[in-house]
Amino acid sequence: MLFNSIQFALFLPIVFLLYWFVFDRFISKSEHQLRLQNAFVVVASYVFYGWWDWRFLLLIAFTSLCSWGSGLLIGKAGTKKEAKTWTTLNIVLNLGILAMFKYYDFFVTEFAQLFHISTDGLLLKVILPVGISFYTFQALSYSIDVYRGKIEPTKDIVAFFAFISFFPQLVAGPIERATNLLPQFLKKREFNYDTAVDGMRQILWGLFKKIVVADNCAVYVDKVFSTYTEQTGSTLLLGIVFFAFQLYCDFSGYSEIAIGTAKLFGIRLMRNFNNPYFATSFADYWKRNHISLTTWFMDYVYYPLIGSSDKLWYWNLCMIITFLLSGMWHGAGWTFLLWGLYQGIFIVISMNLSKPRKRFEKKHQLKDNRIYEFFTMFVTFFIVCIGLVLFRAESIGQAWEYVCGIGNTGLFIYPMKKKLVLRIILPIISMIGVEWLQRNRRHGLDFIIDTCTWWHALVYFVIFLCVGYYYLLLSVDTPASFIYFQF
Amino acid sequence: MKKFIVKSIKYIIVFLIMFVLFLRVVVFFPNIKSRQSHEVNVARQIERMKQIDEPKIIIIGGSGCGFGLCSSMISRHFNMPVCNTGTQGGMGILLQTNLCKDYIRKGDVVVVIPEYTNYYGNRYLGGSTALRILTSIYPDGYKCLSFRQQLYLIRYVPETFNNTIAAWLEPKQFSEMDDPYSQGSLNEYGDVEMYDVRWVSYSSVQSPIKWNNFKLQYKTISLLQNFCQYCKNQNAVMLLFPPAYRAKDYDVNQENIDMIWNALKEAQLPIVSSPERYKMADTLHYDTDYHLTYEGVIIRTNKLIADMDSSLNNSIIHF
Repeated sequence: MLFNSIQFALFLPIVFLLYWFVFDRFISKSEHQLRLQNAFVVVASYVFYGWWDWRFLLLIAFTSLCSWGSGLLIGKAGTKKEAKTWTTLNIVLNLGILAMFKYYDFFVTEFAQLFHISTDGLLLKVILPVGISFYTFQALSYSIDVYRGKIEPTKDIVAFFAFISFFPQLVAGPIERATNLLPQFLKKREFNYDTAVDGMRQILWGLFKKIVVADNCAVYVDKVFSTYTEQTGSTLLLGIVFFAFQLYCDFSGYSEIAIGTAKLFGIRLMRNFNNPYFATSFADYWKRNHISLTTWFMDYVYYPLIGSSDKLWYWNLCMIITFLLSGMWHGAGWTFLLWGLYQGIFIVISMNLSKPRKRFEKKHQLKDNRIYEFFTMFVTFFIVCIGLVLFRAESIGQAWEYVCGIGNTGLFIYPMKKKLVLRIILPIISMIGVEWLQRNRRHGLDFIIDTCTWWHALVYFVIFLCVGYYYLLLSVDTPASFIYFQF
Repeated sequence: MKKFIVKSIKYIIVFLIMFVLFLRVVVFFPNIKSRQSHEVNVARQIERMKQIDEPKIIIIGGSGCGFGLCSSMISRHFNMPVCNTGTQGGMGILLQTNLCKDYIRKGDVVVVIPEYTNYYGNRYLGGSTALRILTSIYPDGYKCLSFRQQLYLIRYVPETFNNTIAAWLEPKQFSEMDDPYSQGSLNEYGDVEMYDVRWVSYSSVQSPIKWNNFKLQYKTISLLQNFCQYCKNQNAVMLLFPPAYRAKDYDVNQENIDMIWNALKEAQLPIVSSPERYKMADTLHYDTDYHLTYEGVIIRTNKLIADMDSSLNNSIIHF
């Protein structure tokens, strides 16, 4: 079930009403009220997830059960070694499942090609379950945090299943930590009017980003990438800039809808994006982009890797390894691996240059200089864009040809489909404008409730109108899926 | 909680009403490009049908009729006036037939040639082309739309409006001398002429188009049955023909075409000829898999005349 589908538009109010009126209000005297409400969350989430393919439910239930069981075993372990064994077992099991579904066929194919072996009978050819990387990482974080003593293992299996499968963030994050989300399922949720209204606004803003910006960009980007050998440099350049906005608005749009939906149920999810294209350095970009995944890799890969080492070269190496793994997390393919390496190298450069850069800025009094700020944003955005060619291309060869094509052919010729470009640029400018004005707030429509005026209502209506208009325009038959579902 | 629900419902209802009103308003902006194009044929032929009192031949279909038949040959052969209403397949067969219904009279021969797209999916209900033509060319036709069809077509309003804006921003000035899509290319019967510029062989540049996710649309068959009955009630004769289709495309879709034709046979519709007879050589096609070159038009018209002859002189032939 997609957030931008009619099914979800019907599913959400039904679940909302049942959640607050049946499982909260009418059975509030029951001592099992919280468990029943959590059980309802699990059922609703499984309906939501099973909409794609009911067989995926077995996998998520198995992952949840193993992680919950391992948490208990870690908690009961008499020695540190025993706890470590259970943690390792759970990690191996979860990563094993992920590897089997996501990476097995890729590595077997590559290995077979290298040694000229036939792959007959070796490939699994299984469908990649939607969002498997997201909920696997969420489950892993729980057992690691229990092992580290950051959280007590929970005996409440229903609350734990709700934590893993909570439908707003199940298929594309934010990848929640047990320390933040699990305690919310262990205590009674209270409905808060202001939070719910804010949630609705955030959903509307997420839909705008997804439908009006991302899906619109996708029309152009798909066309450019499928015919990149015939396109001029200007078209190729525009194609990758639009892809940058497509990717950001698609994924951050999903996150906004997820966070907004969770607010309707009295649950607070972590922020996943903080205007990454306003970043003034590459390191800053990764502090703002896909925050839940970046912090996950920092906490569970990077910091354990560096350990107690104080050698800068080793820190840099660990950072590159971390981003290589992050690239692999995104997909089984050399392009993702290379994309991860590209990110790792640039983040190391950015981090190592931060001190000299600060000295330079201080010397030339550039800290509050708006032109300098925009310039650094532009440079960061440009580096991000070049990296995204790897993210979008189907092979390294294609990515290389694409980048070469930008420089080789007609960079100053009008790009293809001028009218389409106009249709895309207007929503992008509107989105950037709103996010710039609201950059210190949590989302684009994060207004102060008390100051609600007709002007706000007009803004909501214009956004609603754009969402409806573009929804009809772009998805007459079926609504477009979200890019990050494939990961 | 109550306040939140009431307020949310209020907002959603008000926004939805305003959104529908917005769509209702923008759909009435005419497309200036459409008004200069061969699409004016719809209004012209309706006007002709109104004025002709004697028995006539009405041709209903998509652009494959306008770009694929020589009505003057048909008219001469049967000694009857011909109104070729076939302008755009995107209008959908439901609208195409409904627009003609009021003008079918005793003794008329109604030749129905739906393009294959009408037989699967919801294309029989039309799309943005239907809205564009109704708004820009024949607004009276809106009353031919059923409520269900109106509901269905709402989704095409943005696409129609975007095309209207695009036409305003960059109006294409049709040169009546050399553009078959200009209104100047139409003859009095509704055929697109300018055969001298329609020589490009489509087959050499385009790969065949395979119909994806084919699922026979039984509603099209049912509406053709109703239309046939309507013609009978008016003492007119309806003949159902397969469209002229490019051989390459025919071959990749043959299984589905056979399925369509078998279903039409089972529905006991007055089908004339077999689809294979109208499978036209690749080189006879102009710019789409339905549009023909001059040579193609003559071959196809001769076949159509022969088939009509045998059907009208004898009884309806079921192949």
